[in-house]
Amino acid sequence: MYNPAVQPPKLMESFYGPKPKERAVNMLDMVSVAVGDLFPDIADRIYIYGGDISVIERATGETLSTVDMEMIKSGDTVKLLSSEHGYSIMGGEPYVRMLKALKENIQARTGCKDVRLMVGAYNGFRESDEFIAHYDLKSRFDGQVYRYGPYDKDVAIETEIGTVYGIKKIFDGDWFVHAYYDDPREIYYNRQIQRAYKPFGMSYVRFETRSIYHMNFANRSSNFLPMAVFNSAFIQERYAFSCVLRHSPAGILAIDADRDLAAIDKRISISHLRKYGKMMLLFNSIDECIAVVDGGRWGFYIHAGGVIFGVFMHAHDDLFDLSIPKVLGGFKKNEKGEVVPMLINPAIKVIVLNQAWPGINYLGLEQTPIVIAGEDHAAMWKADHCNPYITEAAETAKDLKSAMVRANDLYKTDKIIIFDGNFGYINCSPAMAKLLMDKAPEVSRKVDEELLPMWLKQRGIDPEAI
Amino acid sequence: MIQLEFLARVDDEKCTGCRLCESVCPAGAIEIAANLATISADRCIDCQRCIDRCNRENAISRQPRPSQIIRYVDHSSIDKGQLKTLCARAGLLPDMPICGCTRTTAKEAVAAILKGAKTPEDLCAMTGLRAGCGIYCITRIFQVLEACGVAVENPSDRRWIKLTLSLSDIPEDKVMMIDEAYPQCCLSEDWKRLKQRHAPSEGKEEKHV
Repeated sequence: MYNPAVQPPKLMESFYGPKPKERAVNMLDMVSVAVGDLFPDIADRIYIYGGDISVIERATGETLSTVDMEMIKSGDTVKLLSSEHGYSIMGGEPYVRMLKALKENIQARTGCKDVRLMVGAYNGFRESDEFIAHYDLKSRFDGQVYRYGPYDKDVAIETEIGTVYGIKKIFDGDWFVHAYYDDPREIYYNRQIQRAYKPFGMSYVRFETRSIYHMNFANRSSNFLPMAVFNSAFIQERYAFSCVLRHSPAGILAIDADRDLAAIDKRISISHLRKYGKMMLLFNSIDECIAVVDGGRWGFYIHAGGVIFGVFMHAHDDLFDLSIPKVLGGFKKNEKGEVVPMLINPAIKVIVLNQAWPGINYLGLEQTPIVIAGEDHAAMWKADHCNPYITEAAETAKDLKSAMVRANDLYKTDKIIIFDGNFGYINCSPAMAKLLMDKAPEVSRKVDEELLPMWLKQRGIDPEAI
Repeated sequence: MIQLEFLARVDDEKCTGCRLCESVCPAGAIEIAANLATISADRCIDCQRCIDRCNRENAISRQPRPSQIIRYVDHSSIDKGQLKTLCARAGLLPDMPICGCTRTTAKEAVAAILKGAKTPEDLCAMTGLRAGCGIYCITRIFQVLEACGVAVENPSDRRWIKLTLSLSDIPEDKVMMIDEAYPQCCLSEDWKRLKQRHAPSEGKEEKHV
């Protein structure tokens, strides 16, 4: 017997995606597997969706008590730099609570009144406004809330490898706080290299800088760019400290705060390689499945057991092994001589999109059969120029149940996994639950004894010292 | 190549001529005159950025085109050697998609320039580049224009900034220093691979792009 399916975090209605509809777990006969049942040694957490959220504020206050804020004077302007994805992890409220506690703590400790929340966006001009309205940020942050995005006015930043361009309005205060989250979402690109620095190559910079970060550096070496930006004199003159919402597959692990970002990054790496390493290898051990994507933002970024669907799409490689140069971002010629994206996880036999946003490129998605639930939803995908090739692969079904019938016509399997935003649990079919439980002990042994020491050494961390 | 079934259309009653849409259009399709935006159907690539940006008045909407059109620049009449040379000058291989969204190849972009594209906006209007996310391909656009000898001057409104900084621009001694300090970034290994791309061999091109 397995646990009943777990309700996923609620969805936020948006200009950019389909209107939220009934969740997959409520329409399919699913069960759930707890991360703690799979891997008892990585079950620790302070919060999971539905729990007592006040723990976030308390943990933030406790962690910040060790951080030096002497540099901030009462008449200064401090900008709290927040980034897009934090507002969607476990419904977004944990990140908001951390940000709120951060603001109040700075004000209480320093006497500084002008502490502004900067709300970042991936691309759209309405994304930040939607967060501000949804979380009532204007009233919760005393009106000191501002949006920013990749097309805002630029500021040149001289780094040791050349000039790049940041967002002027987030760096024009006396100080800024790097207020981040660490779920290892783009492991296929980030490779768990300098993870804590990433916004300095993405959300805090102009779209041209984001472009060179993705296109002009390779899969592993690109991660030097955000660190070079962070280490620039321009940034260091304004940097106060960092405060990070830390995650594991089981949920929110802690709040980490420090002026030393390298120290935070090392703590994140050790934790992620051990904890996410096990979840990643477990996902790698899935031999076949129908993957159902059911969330309120870009489907690529929707979690199951704390791992995003985009990572599952590339789980056939060991994404943490730095001896593999490239795991995503490339094209190759196939047997017919056609240029095609690198293969996605061949264990995913059919993808069912119950609800997910288009609007970012899902490179390689068209190589797998796709069934989209709902005509309106399908129309959004088929008119999306980020993914024009999906129209060649996707079929439309009137609803999720019909989509699942069609998926089973395309590939017969009783192993189904749902990406619906959950940390701590994986909603799935009983057959998938059995597979995961059966595989977990060997996965755990292999990570502890073989892979983790290698991954750590590749990042200059002595396994014996942790 | 992109297929276009829709285009952006301005509601004259709602438009205030605020110019917010003009600077975000990657294809240079929007002009403002007499406090009114007009959108050229010949240049619009249905990226919907103007619709998104017009979040005060909601004066722009997506409308079906009278008939579906394709934006694609045929490169079959252009000498393959010339295409290859210009792509290599940009640090790209001819068949390499320079945009993950539209899959526009380097050789199509070069062909568009040889057929008259003189600005990033021209290149987008002719090929559909930046019709998707609009972010990641921008440096490739600068690279191919530069390789083809087209001078790119930053516009005064900073709607884009020419930025082509690449791993291969970093001097070798600097790469070695970084590699020693941060071996996890594998900088020297990737640097060598990118340097090779500037002088692609036949064999390499065939095997992997």
